[in-house]
Formats: sequence, C-alpha cells, structure tokens
Amino acid sequence: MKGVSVLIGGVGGQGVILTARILAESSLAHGLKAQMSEIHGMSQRYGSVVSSVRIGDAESPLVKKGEANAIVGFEPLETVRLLPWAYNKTVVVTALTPIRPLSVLLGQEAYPPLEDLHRQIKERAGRVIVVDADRIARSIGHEVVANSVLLGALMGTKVLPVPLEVVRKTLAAHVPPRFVAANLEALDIGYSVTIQDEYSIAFA
Amino acid sequence: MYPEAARLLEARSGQTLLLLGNEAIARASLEAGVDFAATYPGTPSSEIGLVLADIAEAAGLKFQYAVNEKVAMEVAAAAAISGLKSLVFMKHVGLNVASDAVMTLAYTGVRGAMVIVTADDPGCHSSQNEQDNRIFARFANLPMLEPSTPQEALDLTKFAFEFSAFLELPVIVRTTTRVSHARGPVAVSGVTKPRGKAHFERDPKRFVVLPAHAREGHKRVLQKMRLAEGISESTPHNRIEDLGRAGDTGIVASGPAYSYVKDFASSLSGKLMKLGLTNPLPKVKIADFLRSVKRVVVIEELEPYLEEAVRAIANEYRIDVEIYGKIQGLVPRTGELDPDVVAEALVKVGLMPADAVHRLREVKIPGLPARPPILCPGCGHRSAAYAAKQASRRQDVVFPVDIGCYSLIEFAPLNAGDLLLCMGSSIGLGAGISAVSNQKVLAFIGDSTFYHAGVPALIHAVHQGANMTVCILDNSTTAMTGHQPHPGMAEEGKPAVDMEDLVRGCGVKSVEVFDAYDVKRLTKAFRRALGAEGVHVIIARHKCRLLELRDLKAAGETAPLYVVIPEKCTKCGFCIDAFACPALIRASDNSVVIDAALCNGCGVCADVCPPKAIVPLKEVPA
Repeated sequence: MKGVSVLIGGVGGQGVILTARILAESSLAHGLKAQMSEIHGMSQRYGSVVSSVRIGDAESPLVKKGEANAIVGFEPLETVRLLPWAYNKTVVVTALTPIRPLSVLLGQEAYPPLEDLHRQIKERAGRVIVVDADRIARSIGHEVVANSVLLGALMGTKVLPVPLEVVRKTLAAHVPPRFVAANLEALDIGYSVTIQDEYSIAFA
Repeated sequence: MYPEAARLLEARSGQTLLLLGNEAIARASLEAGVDFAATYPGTPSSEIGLVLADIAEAAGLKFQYAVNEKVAMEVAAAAAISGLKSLVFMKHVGLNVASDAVMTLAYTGVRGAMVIVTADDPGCHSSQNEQDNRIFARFANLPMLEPSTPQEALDLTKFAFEFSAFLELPVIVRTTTRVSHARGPVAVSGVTKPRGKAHFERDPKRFVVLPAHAREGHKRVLQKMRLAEGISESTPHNRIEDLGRAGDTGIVASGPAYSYVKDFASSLSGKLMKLGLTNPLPKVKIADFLRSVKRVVVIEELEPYLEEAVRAIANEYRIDVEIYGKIQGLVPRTGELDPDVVAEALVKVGLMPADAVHRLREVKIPGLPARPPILCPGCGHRSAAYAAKQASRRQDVVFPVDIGCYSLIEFAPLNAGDLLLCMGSSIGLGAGISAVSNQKVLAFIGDSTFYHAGVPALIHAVHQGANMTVCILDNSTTAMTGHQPHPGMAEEGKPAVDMEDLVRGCGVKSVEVFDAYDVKRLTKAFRRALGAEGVHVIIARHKCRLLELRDLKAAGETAPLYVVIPEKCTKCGFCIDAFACPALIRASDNSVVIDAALCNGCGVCADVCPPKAIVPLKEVPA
C-alpha cells in the first residue's frame, strides 16, 4: 500500500473530523497529496464517528483493514472499535476517559473494564501511547483542546511525513482565535508525552 | 454561516484546495456560471446548499431552499427552460419526491442548462434506504455522470453543464456518500459571472405536455440520447487503463468502486475500464473491451446496473466472455463497498493473492457496546416524546414517527416510534391505522418535514375523519442536515408561512401550542387529545437547543447548570430509565449525578424527577 494511513475515531462532538482535517490540510500544505473521509448527518449526534486520512499517492480515502499506520482514539471504546484496521506495526494513540454509550447508562450493557480494552489494543498494535488528554487539557484550562493533545502525541510518533511546525500553523488557522494558544500548548504537551514515552522505552 | 463558503467563492484559478465532493460541486457550479440553484436539504447532499446559500448574493446567483424536492426541481426547471443555467440537488430519496417532474422534464428538455445532483447513500449512513439512483437516469432517459473523487465531482459537474446545454436536456450527476463526504485536493479554475435575469419564451408544443405533444417529446428525448451516445463513446471520462501487469481479465468500475480497484492496480493484471458517463453507456467501447479480454469483473456499488448492461452488450454483439459481478453473488448487492469488500471479490476470482484478505478473518472484535447516535442533551424532542409516552401509559397507542433528528425517539427508553417510511409518512400511516383499527394513534412529525410532505396527509386525515393526534416537533429549523431554514421561518424578504394558520387551513379544529420543555402541560394535552375524537394537532415548540446555546454564547451568557441534591435523590433511577438525557449519570451506588460537561441546562429533568431532587445550581443553599 502507498502512503500513510491514519484512522481517527471518537464520539460525535469530540472533534474527530476537525482533527482529521488538520492532518490532511497540513499534508497538502507540505506538498503531499492528502484525502480524508467524513460522515455527516445523523452519526454526529453523540454516536461513533470515524474519519480516515490518507497521505500520499492513493485514489480512495478509505483504508483497508489491517493497513492503518496509525490509529488515534479520542475515547477508549472507540479506539478498540478501530482495531480491525491495526497490524503489528500500527501506532495507537488513545485517550483515557471513557464516555459511556446510552445502553451502558441505561444498564443494558456494561462498559468493558479499561484494562481489558488496553490489553486488546496492546495485543494488536505495534506501539501504544495512552494519554490522559482530558486531564492535560484541563490543566491548560480548556477541556476542548484534548484532541490537540492527542494530535500532538500522534505527531511525536513521527509516523506522519509532515513536520510538527506545519501542523502548528494549520492548527492555528483552523481553531477560533481565542483558543489558538491553548491548542498549540496542548499540541506541544502531547508531542512531549510521546517523546518521553520513547525515552522510557529506551531506558527500560 | 458555513465556514468554507467564502474560501470557495474567492479561490483563484490554479489553486488547489482540500474540498469535500459537495464543496467541489458548489465550486463547479460557480465556474460554470450557474444562475439559479434550489434544493431541499438532505444528507449527503446538504453542504452544496450550505455553501451556495452563503455566497449566492456575492456570486450574483439566486438560491432557494424549496419546501420539498419536487418544488426545487420545478423552480430549477423553469429557470433552465427560461434559458438560464440551473442546479438542483438532493439526497437519493429526494429524487423520488421530485420524480413526477423529472420523468416529464426529460420530454420537454430545457433551453439553458440544468444539472440534477442526486447524492446516494449506500450503507444508509443517514437514510431510510440505499436505493441506486443510476436506475432513475435509465428510467427517465437522462444522461448521467458518476464521479469517483472530489476532483471528478468538480470536473464532471462542469462537464454536465456543457453537456446539458448541448443536448438541451437535464443531466444527472450521481454521487455517493464517499464522494460527497470525501475530502481531497481539488484544482479549481476561474468562476463565470451568472447572466441573472431571463425571459420565458412561449413554445407550448414543447413545454405543455398535452398527450399529442408528450408523444413527440418522448421521441425527442430518445433522439437526444442517441446524440449523447456519441459523446459517451468519445469522452475521456469513459476510458481504459492498464493495470500493473498484462493479463486477460478486464475490470469495469464506476464511482468510488473505481478508486478502490485503482488502489490495488499495481498488484492486479489486465485492464480497467473506468466509466464516468454511465447513461448512455458507450456500447461500442464496452464491446471492444469485452472482445479484448477472456473474462470481465464488474465492480460497482448497489444494483448490478453496469453488469446488466455489460451482459446485454456481450449478448447483442455475440461476444464470448465470462462476466462476474453481483448477479452470481461475487460482489454484494447490499451495503457499501470498501477496499476490503473489493479485495475479497478480487481474491475470489483469483485476481489478487489469497493473503490479501488473510487479515479479514481475524478482525472481529466482539462484545463492544454499540454507540448509536442519540438526541442531544437539552433536545426538545426528548421532552415532548417523554410527555407523549407518559400520557399514553397503559393505553394501546401506535406511534408513527418521521424523518429527522427525532427519528431517534424510536430508541430505548422512549421507544416512541412504531412506523416510519419516508418524509411525511407519519401522518398518512397514522391515518391508515386509524382507518383500519381501534387503536389510538399519536404521530410525530418535525416542522420542516411537516411543510415538506405532512400537509397533504393532514388534509387527508381531516377529510377522512381519522381519529389521531399529530405532534409537530417544532425546533424552528431543519436541524439534522445542518440547521437550514424552512417556510415556517421568516427571513429577510421572505415572510413566514404560519404553522398554526396552515394547520387550521388543513381543516384541523383543535390546534394547541406548548413549549416542548413543558412536560406537565404537554402530558395533560396529549392525554386529552388521545381521549377525544377527530384530528388533534399539538405543536411542541422549542428552538433547537444547539442554536439556543449558540445565541446564548453570542450574548455572553451561559446555560444554567442543574445538579442533583444527594440527600433528596431516592436512587429510583426514573430519570435515566424513562427520560435518559445523556448528562444523567448513574453512580456506583445507583444515585444519579449530572455531568456538568454534557448538561445543556434545559431543566426538564427537574420536572421529570419524582422526588424533586434536581434543581438549578444557583438555587442550591450554600
């Protein structure tokens, strides 16, 4: 398969499509062909949302199962839902905070234990980065920048053929002016989380 | 405002933008110099209108949100018959509504140019069915183009305008969700200034379809389609490409299916026929292609539209070639195609090595709770449906529901949806149940849907003496498709068509209006209406909470926060089990807490809670 493929998944309203958009726009700005898929309409009302981004010379924005280079999950259950697209070299970046589906709130189904979800991710992926994006975002002062933390963590993996600086510029151009500083801070913290994770692996 | 609109208007020739297929169609229309555009919003076509609505004035074109797709088709047809360039666009099922006009518009044709965009939804991402509208083009005898990517959406839409002007016939552009909602690099050209006003020139023999004229019109459209065949044979949009290695297999594909095959091209052998102009099909080109290979695999989404044509051509020209597709079950006829489904088909016919799908077998991840879409916190549809369910407890009530966000009231715990077919069907289906059964009927319909197709059914129900309650869930917008206006809303220079007047004009004597958040009064009203004879209309009105929150934010205010007072919560769980706002969270000790990040401050849960344990935060004693 050509190019680099990224799947981003989460819950409607978390900013999945915006994050995919920033990746795709950054790639285009860096001179690479980029495409993405979006689904609008009903699925954005707190339902599962997934967007695929393909960077490089491909015809379709959709990714074949077992061939995603990276998976970013904004919610643990949604990360696991995307595992069919992972293979033994896939990098997975996942948020920590569960958002319970209605069936769980109603007590009809149970939310799987986080350890189980993490184990499933580790079994299938090449590298796993678990980021408490919500806590980091809160520490910055804006919960809405959690997705930029995860985007930063993805950038730290160096899976994408795009420099961080290009993503910074695109991000700044795509969020409301009053949130630019917080988003850039979130991106940098996310980036450093991955870099530190690398050190801890190297010295383990 | 649609964030991309200005960028789309201002882009200069030679620029490459990352565009949605729908944005590319809007840009193509500007480049073609479209004078008039109309639509009724429907996913996955909606963004074309969101763009055009915002830039129409600056671009010098006229844009109208029509009351339904049939009217959109008619106003756009009149513009094109008057010599202008017009665009009409809708979701696939919208073309069903407009079909009465389309079938005969093919006979009359147009004078300027007219492009009809139908956005199909294989996989039913946001639709009630996955009909294949390519069959409409064949049915109506209208030319059709099928783009595979956003760039092609632009190129083929522009081509469609030229093609339509040449043939004096409307041309269909058929997209699917994966084209309309794919985003890719699109190179744009310059825009053409619209002409603006037109003058209608009489020609009743052509434009008044009395039987004698209609018979001539039928011959005329068939002549035009023969002319179109020549274009289909010669256009580069229908072409043959080499695959990775030489071979004796041919693949025929169109739309996104072509892209999936193309991504495997380097590992495939033989030739690939890409069809972009799929009505009329290039018969000679296809026949030559069939002769040049030993077997053909047709990869297409939904119906075997191309495959049937390929089989007919092989038969007509007596070509000995094996044909594989949907008819013998190689490619599924239901659901969306994707790279995995296409790979599986190509493996089955031996075109790809078996290990190309080996991963597919191990990908099942069982036991994950599903996460379907739900009504937003603070949605007035939830409170109105809750009131209706409370009022109908221990009664045998049938709940027809309709198309919109509120279709979701079918899900637990509201379970307030028993019947749903199409736009406006709740009232017709309800009147039918009332005619044949002694059950009570409570039909839900949204405001935009009511104007779209509910009115004739309501007239029918009144005239036939139905016993039913109709609840119009009025959030004063067309919410699900992106908050478009509808005729009940006044805009600058556009008077509102008053809903209550309209309902009374349909002959309904009992019309009541309540705030959709007022569950107490609504419950009483539903109870009264269900116990009475005749047609009763209850309007549950509350502006879409997402728009209200936007207004609050603009005014520098925030929605009130609600909290559960722990000492008062009896852990009965009623608020979750019966109302289920997603901001209500059951704690491990079964008490309920409100998730402040999710709560939109509607306060309805305070009325729902039996022990009155929920109060606004500001009323909590310190």
